[in-house]
Amino acid sequence: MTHHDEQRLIRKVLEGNAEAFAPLVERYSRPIFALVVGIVGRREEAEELTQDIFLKAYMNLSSFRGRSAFSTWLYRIACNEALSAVRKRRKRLSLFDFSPAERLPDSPDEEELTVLTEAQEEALLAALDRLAPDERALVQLHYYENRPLCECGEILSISESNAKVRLHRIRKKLGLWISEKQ
Amino acid sequence: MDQRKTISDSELRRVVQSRKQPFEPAFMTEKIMREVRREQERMLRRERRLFFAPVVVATVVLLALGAYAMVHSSQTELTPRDEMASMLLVGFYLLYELQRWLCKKWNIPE
Repeated sequence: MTHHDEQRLIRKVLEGNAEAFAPLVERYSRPIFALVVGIVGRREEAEELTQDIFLKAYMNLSSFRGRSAFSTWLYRIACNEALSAVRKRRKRLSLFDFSPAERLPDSPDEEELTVLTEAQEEALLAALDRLAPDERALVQLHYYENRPLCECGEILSISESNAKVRLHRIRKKLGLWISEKQ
Repeated sequence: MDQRKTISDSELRRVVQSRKQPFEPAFMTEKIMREVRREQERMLRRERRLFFAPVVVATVVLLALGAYAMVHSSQTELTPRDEMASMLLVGFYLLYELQRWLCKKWNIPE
């Protein structure tokens, strides 16, 4: 579906044709669900939230001005709703907050783990669930959805450089947690 | 393991993308569209109320203004027609503002 097709469908919805919203739902329901489940961590809650997100998008479609891509606008709603749901639920805080990773000095000769063992991979999957909700949102957008940093920043209302720094800190934190597990 | 090691970009991407959640797109689309249709019905009902409410309010307001104008005109130098005209202008302006407010409240494009 091209940008032009999306604009055409949006115009039809705004003219009163609700069925024109269906192709947009079909196109984005899977990635939105994947993003939301990555943030909230619970499948059933993610399904309900996905429904609420699309309903909110439909009800507020007249406020979409076309300044950004429709997907960026929709993802922004999804992130806000998912993060809001997590805050409301008062999910357990990450056992290790930012402090340990922040205390590690940034070294230009910092080594990277470029190949993980099976055990490290399992540890990494568990560590991803320990990230804060906004960190999980950024990881899902950049690594699962392959969104560029500028778009991740736009969706999460942070600057591109801020997104880059946060991702670097997340990777460092994950590396630390994996090493502590072993 | 050296604590300074950071997960590489490519490895993190690979692991994140390996996480798959089962998902039934057709079922989810149908669920969402059901809610969308329900919301459309609600919006149509609101629009009908939005159309009829000002008509009812207008009738009541104009009758009231007309009665006031008839009574008030005897106490001023203006003719009943002039009184009525000025009252009608005020009345129509109030109705216009009321409709704008209702459109905003019910999220209906003006």
